Amino acid sequence: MEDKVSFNWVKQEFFSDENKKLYVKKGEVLLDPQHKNTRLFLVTKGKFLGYLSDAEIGNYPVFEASENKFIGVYSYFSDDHYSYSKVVAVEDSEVYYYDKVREAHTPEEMQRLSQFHISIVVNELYARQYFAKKMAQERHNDSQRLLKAEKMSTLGQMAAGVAHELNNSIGVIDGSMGRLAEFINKCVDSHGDHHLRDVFETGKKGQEISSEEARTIRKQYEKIKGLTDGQIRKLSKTGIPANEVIKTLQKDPSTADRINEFWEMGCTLHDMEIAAKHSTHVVRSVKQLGVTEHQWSKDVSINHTISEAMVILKNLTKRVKTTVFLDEYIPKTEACPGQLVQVWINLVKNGIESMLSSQTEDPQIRIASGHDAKNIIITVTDNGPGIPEDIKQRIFEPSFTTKVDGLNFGLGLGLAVVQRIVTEHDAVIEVNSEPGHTEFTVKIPLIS
Amino acid sequence: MDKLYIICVDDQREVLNALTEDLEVFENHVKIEECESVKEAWEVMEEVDNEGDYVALLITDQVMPNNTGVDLLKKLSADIRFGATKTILLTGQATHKDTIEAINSAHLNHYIEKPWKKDDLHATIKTLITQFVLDKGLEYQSYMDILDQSVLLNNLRKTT
Repeated sequence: MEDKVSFNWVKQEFFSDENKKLYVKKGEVLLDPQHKNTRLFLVTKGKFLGYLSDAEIGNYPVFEASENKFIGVYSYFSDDHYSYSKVVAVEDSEVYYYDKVREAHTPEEMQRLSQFHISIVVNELYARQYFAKKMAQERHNDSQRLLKAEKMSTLGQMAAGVAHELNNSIGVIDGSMGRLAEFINKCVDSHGDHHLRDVFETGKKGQEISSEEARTIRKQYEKIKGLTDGQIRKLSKTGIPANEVIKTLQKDPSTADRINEFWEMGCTLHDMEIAAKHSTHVVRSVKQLGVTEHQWSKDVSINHTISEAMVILKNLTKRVKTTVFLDEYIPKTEACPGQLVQVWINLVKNGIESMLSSQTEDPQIRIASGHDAKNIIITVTDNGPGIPEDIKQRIFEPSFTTKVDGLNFGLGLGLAVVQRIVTEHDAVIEVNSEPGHTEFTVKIPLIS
Repeated sequence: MDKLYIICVDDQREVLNALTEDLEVFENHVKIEECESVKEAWEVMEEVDNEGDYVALLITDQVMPNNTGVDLLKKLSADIRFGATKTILLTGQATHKDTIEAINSAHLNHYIEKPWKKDDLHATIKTLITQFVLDKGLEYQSYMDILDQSVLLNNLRKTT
C-alpha cells in the first residue's frame, strides 16, 4: 500500500481529469490573495512565479513552480483558504487541479491522499527555501557588480579631476614658457655675434645626436688644448663639428663657455617645450577616460584614438618592441572616442603585461588599423605565451584576471569593460591565441 | 691623479641633460658620461676600466627599452671589476618589487625618486664618492673639494 502513495499514483488518481484541466496563458493570474482558493494545482506544463507585494519595494518573487510542482499549497491547507501570494504564469502553462470542497472520493482514497500531504508540504518547504537562497545569492552578486562598477567610475572621475587640475597648471607653464622663449629669442637676436645666434638656433632643435655619437665627436674636441672636461663634454653634445670652431677656441678657450651657454639655452627651451607638450597630451588623454567625458561623436578618427592610447601607455610600451601601423585611409565613423581609447589601452596593456610577467624573449606588440568595405579592423598582436585553452572562454567575464602582482595604475579596466564598449559600438571582438602569437581583432562597422 | 667617472643612464635625452647639468659642480674632479641605454652604459664602463680608470658611481633610471636599470645593477654587482662602484637608482616608477630586487640582488647603495632635488642629489653623490675613494684607498687629498667631510673624518678617526 505504501508504494502506491507515490507521486505518480497521486497524479494519476487526483490530477488527471481532463475536465479539471486549466490552460493559463503567459501573464495570467492563477491565484490572487483577494480570492478564496480551495484547490490544489499540479503544473503539467509551463512555469509560474509567486509574488508578494510590498509597499516599499513593489512586487517581488517568493517562489517558482514548474512541471510536477504543486501550487496553492498554503491556501489549500490554511483555515481561511486565502493565498498569501499572487501566482502568475510566466509561460503558457497547463495545470490540473483537485478541489477540496467539490470532489467526492471514497474515504479510503481520501486517507491515502492525506498520507501524501506531508510529502507535498515538505517538498514545498524545500522548494521555497531553495528559491529564497537563490534569490539572496543573486542579489548579493548584483550588489557586488554594482560596487565594482561604482569603484571603476569613481576611479575614472578621480582621474578626470586630477587631469583637470593639472590641465590648468600645465596651461600656465606652457603659456609662460612661450612668452619666456619669445623674450629670449629677442635678446639673442639683438646679440651682435652671428655665430652664437646660430648656435642658439641649433640648440632650439634639441639634442640631435645620441650620447654615443657625442662620444665620437668628443675625441676631436679632446685634441684642442686648454679646454676643461666639462667644456668638452658639452661641446660634443651640441653636434657642432670641432673643425668649425677650432680656430675660435684656440684663440680664446673661454669662447667654449659662450658656445655652450647659447646652445644650452636653446636646448633647454626645446626640452621644456617637449615636456609641456607631452604633459598636455597625457592630461588630455586621461581626461577622456573620465566618465563625464564619454561623449559620442559622428566623425571620430579611429587612428587618433589609437595614438591617444599609445601616449598614455608610453612608459609601458618602451619596455617591449612596439609597432604601430595606422591605415591613413580609414573613413571617420560614429563612436565614443574616450571609450575606444580605453579599449586599446586594455588590449595593449594586457598583451605587454602577460609578456613581461612570463619573461617572453624579445617581446613584441603590434597595433594596426585597417578597413574593408564594411568594417574598420583593429588588431592587437603580441608574441607572448598565449591564452591557455581552459581560460579562453572566461577572459571576457567581469573580475577575471590572471595578474597576481605588480603595480597596476588602474587605467585598464579589464576585458569585461572592453567587451561592453565593443558591444555598445555594434562592433565585435575576437581572439585568436596560440603560444607565441595572440591576436585580438576588433571590427567596427562603417556607417553606410 | 686617477680618473674617476660618474656614469649616467637614462633613455630620455631631456632627463639626461637635466641630470648632467646638475652634476656640473663635480666636473672639475670627475668625468661624467651620458648613456642612453644599458648596453651603451656597459660598453662605456668596460672602456673606462680598460683604460685603467675608475667607475666611481653609476646613476641609472629603471624603466628603459630592452634592459632595465635593475638588470644593469645586477650585472654590475656580479662583475669583480666594478666591486667598489657605488650605485644610485634614480627613477619615477620602479615598483616595490624592482626596488627590493635592486637592494637584495644588486646591492643598491641609494634610491632617489624623480623628480630629484639638486641638494639631495649632491649630498648623496658626495657621500658615495667619498666612500668609493676610501674603499679604493685612493689619494683623497686631490678630490677634497667634492668629498663629504664628515664621512672622511669618521674614517680617519677609525683608522688612527
